[in-house]
Amino acid sequence: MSWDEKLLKQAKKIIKLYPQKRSALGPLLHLAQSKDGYISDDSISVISELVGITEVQVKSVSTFYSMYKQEPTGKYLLSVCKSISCEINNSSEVIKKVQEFTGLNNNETDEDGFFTFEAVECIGACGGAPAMQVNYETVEGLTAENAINLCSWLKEKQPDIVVADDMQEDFGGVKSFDWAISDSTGATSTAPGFQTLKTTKVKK
Amino acid sequence: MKETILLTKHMRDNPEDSHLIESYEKNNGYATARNTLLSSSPENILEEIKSSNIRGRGGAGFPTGVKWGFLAEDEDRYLVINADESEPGTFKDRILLERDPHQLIEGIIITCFSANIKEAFIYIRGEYAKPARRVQQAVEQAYEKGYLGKNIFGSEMDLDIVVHLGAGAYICGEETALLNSLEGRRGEPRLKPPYFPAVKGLYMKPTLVNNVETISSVPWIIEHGGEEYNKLGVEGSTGTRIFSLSGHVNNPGNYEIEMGSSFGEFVDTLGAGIRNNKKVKAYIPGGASAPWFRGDQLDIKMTIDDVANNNSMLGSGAVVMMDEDTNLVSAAKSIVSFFAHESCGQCTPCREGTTWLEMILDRIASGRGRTSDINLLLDVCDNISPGLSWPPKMTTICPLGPSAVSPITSLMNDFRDEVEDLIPTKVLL
Amino acid sequence: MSDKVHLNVNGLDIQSDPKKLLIEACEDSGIHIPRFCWHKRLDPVGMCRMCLVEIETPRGKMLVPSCTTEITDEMVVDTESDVVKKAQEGVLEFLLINHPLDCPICDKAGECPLQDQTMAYGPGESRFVEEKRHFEKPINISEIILLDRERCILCARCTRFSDEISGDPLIEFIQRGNKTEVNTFPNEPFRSYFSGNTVQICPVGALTSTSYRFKARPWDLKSTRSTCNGCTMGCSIELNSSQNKMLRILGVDNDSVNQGWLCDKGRYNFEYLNSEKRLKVPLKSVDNNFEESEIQDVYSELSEIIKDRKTKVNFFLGSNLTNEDYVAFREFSKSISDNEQSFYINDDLLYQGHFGQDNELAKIDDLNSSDAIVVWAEDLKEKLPVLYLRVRQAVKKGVKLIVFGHTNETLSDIADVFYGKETVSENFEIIKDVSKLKEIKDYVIDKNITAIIGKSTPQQSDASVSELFEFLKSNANTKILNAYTKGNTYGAFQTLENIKGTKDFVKDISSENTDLLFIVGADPVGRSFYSNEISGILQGLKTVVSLDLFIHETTELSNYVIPISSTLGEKDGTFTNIEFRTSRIDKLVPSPGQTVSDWEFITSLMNFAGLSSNLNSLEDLNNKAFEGIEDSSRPVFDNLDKPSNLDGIINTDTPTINTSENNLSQSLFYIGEKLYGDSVTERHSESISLLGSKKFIEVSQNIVDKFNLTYEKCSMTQDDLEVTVSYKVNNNLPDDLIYIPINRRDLNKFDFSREITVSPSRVKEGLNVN
Repeated sequence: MSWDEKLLKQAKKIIKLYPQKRSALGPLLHLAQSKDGYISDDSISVISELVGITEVQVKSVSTFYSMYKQEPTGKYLLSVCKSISCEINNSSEVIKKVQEFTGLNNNETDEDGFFTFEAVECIGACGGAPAMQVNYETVEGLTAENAINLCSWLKEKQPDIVVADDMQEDFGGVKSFDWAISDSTGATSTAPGFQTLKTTKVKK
Repeated sequence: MKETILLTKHMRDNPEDSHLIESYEKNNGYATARNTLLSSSPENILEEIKSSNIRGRGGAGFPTGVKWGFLAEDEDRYLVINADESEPGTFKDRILLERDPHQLIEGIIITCFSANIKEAFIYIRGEYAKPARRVQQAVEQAYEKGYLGKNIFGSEMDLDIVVHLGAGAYICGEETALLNSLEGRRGEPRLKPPYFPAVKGLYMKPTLVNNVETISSVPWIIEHGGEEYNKLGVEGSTGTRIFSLSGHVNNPGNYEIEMGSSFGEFVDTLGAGIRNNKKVKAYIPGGASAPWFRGDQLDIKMTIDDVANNNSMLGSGAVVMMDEDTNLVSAAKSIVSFFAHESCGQCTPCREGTTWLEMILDRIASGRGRTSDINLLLDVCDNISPGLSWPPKMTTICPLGPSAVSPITSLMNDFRDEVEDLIPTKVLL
Repeated sequence: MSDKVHLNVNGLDIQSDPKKLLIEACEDSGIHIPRFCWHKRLDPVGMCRMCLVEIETPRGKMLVPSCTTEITDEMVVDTESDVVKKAQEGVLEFLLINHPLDCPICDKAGECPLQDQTMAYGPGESRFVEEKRHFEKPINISEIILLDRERCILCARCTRFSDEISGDPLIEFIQRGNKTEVNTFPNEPFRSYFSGNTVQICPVGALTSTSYRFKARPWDLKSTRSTCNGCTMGCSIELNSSQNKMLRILGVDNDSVNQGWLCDKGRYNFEYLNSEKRLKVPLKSVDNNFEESEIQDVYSELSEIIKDRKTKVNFFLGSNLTNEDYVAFREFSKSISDNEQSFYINDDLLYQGHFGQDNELAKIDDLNSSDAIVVWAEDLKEKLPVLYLRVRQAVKKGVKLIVFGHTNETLSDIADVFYGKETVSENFEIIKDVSKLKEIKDYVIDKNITAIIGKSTPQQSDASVSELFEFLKSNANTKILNAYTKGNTYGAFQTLENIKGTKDFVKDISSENTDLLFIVGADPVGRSFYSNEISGILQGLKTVVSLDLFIHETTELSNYVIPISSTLGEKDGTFTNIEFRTSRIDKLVPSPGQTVSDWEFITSLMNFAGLSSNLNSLEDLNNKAFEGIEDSSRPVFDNLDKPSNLDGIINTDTPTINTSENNLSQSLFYIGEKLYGDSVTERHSESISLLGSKKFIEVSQNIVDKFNLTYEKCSMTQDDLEVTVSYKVNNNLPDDLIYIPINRRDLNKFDFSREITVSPSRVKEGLNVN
């Protein structure tokens, strides 16, 4: 097994939450992704043993869902929405410009392992169309120009923690609704932080 | 028209910390749950819900009291909160999760008391990282205070809540697909019959699957009584609902209103009208699955029944306005492409048909359409949803296939010329 | 008053059992509803949508999938309405838009449900003008199975079979939506013992066998139904040949036995029939060399030996003989001597068993109707694979499963209780008081039990096997399946008397009591636990006659080697399975060269030697085999050919097995056999020959630590014999027990009564000849 003691302990804690072991498969895949940035074959082997199903059964589940990446991703996952509300509010322009800036096609990662770009389906930010997420932290009301500014900023500052409030303030526009609560938590990886994962930290 | 504030009251009154338990309790939060557990009975709660006539807020609009009544007897029963909000245009559950998670938890406690359930799951879509953090934090705060776990409020009741994250699959919003996903499987819908969640749900045990907004409404209903809730709105669409307004409006956002006004009134007053004073060409009344209405149909009322009578659905309450300059073929393609991408792949018509529709629309949109394509589109749609009727018939396992048909039938019924304009009728030599 | 359900289909009134699926009820009444994903033996999933029909509901007509709809009384169904026809055309058009135009090069063409249903229900043309989806084609998902993902219509029959029926889900759907494909995990091929069944049930040419790929078209094939003789299950099979060569074996749906399934060995171990190395000419040993001989000369020389009726003759019979073969040897032995004859059959694990009036014998179907199944026998998955599937099926239906012994650890994942090394010692004895075990009290006492009982390993004492059965008999309503596993053992039980096994052969046979030994269809020197002793014995005997298909280690020590036709497909006869069910074995292809059937040889020898017999034909032998059984249930050819008897006829019997008692012996070795080995037939069946070539042992972590084993290989040494093997850690094994499969080359050459030294391998990378 190539998961260290700490990670295995976390894994076992997650499994205990559910009446049946197999239910922990989803969270364990998020855990694996927080470690490697994608679902490696090795992680699949470890998880298959923890949960008690075959490796191909784990892979069957991990490849079904868009968020479990099958190839290594960059430090920053740029997900630009292309669904209906964003589409009629010119998201295609944002997508085009971001692709030009990063030099990436859909689902591609650059050579430095810095950006991964993907055009995604509705992220629930339709009131703030066009919208995108950086490591699943949402920025709403972007213009194509601001989207590029955001990417430049990421490239320059390379923040360890990506905080939605900060990005929104500097690069965002119209919001879907008033976020109200000031929140300095953010993402430290391309796996969403929740439960015992604690992949999020508070920016000091 | 004005908003009627129920669900969004606490968050408006306490914008800075509405997500924290201290703030929630300062506003009498958890009092209803406490009273319920200590002095009410499961049957009473069920009666109140029934008398409120509240209908599910997820999209199907099934009467909640009736759904709770179907739950089969068993030692192990589960409640699953469907927070997999992924219908394009919808973002109402997001505000409830981000800014008032304790209201949801209180609703869960009351619901589980009524249905004798000891374990609840909140299935939040994976992309909602921040809402998930807020909910997880709220759950932990509730545990700390003894509002979850063993002997809640000192009563006999035990309850555990597990926050479970999805991972990017719209189809997991369908209740049986959600249960499969929660069991650690592919998010594929189950056959109904026999797998009705009320009888054979999570782990084949009786399960209640309810939307975030529905359960968030429970505390108010129990505090003020089902009758009071029933007085709000109109018959068949009681209470208040949060509508997500987006598209080409001046003021997009979430608005909590009683149902009964017309879409036009809603957009003009709360939405402040269309940007740049443009006219409405078409609008979607209830999320991407819903057939479109034309710009001259803004007088249709925002109720479940009125929209249904006009051959569409109020669905998830997502209103998307498309102005006169909108390229409707692109819009339709965007929606069809969404369903093709999200199809689970189990059944033949949806798996093959939605992608085929996307390909045909793509050809048409890029100028490579053929005159036979219009009939082809409609025939392919007919093979997914026979008769192209409303409510749709299905050759598929679940309604995702027929949902992909909605924008195409809307396009062909009311905006056929836009499609025809894109198809070259002359071959240039 | 019948409890049938009445429904109206297309205006016709039909009736069926309650809770039956609509598609099945219609099928039974002759109304065919097209389908892809539904299969009679799998749980329905309603995925392909081809079986949609219209039923009347209070809200009007509704399209429902008939494979997931249970019939209800007064249901009104239309399977031919315009709406249904359009839906069928639509589904087929959808399936064909991405399906490649491979018919000219696809194995399935001519027996393809997609072709047939497109012709019958599909549109005449496709309107798809875009590019079809592409995959690399085909890919090997195992040594014997190829997958073409472009042809796959995602009916999930193969994945469902692997998950539900065989319990080894090594193939699954990957990706989502339009990009879904069936695949394996990298470096984890589809190595299932039952993978061939997925090829048979695949409704298109997506899954193909390497052994049949591009070999024939279905309309070229000649076919016959027969019975597999690989183990005592006697699965019903269909043999396919073309141009007199055996090309393929398919499973036949025999409801009582295999229900359409086969193990891969039964399905693919036939290519040896066409091997160049088949013995075609009689051989005689002259000065340690084999020379070709005329069969007349062989008869002549052997007649000389036997005609005075004083020669001491003995028989060592393999398990791949038909009942008629056994009868021929029986009659032969009677004609050459008045003494009581013992017959030695090629079984290291033969023991008394539990037969007789006071022991109720079970049928395989009893597994499904019991309260619980108790297993205390050899590894069912390796030795009786289809019985393993039937046990799984029973457990799925709710029957409790109690497994004793790590020999059956493959059942532990579905067993309600698995008594492993804490309950079963290294000596294969149950060391706890069975009556005190909690689960026994809950599941066994006073319940209906089917017990699968047999020896697990050659050294195990008879008493340790029987003790459990006696307990079950006294404390529950128990029926027993005596788990003998080799071929037509039960046919031998029915036709021979004084039956003994290899252990007694070694004890009894010497040059003092045996002048002439017939070894028929057996290679004990190459395969048996007692191989060294048997080799010694053979070398001391005056005349040894081997009847076999190929040269092997035993024929090397024989004086005469007679080329024989194979029971598989090259001769007619009957076979008796573990339930004492007798069924037909059919000839389909001619046997090569001068081969004769075993019974032909021995009856010809009798005639040549002037020994009287009334056995002039196979029918005579067939009649003789079953004389004494009353006519209606006599499994003679005429009776077995009747349509109602095609699944076989049961006639239970009490065999006379005279094995000597095996007393307790200490052993550090658990001797078993894997399904695939290096038997001479497998070595000559190209497609599967490598599957049984790996030499390995299984040990507990304790052994690994004790002997400091490293890397993945170790050495086993005894005297001059040194074998390098791979080793696998299996913590279900008792600490000091080493599992050795003796049907892997060289491994049976050790003397297991003495110590074998296990040491770390001196070579980091062992020779990888295979």
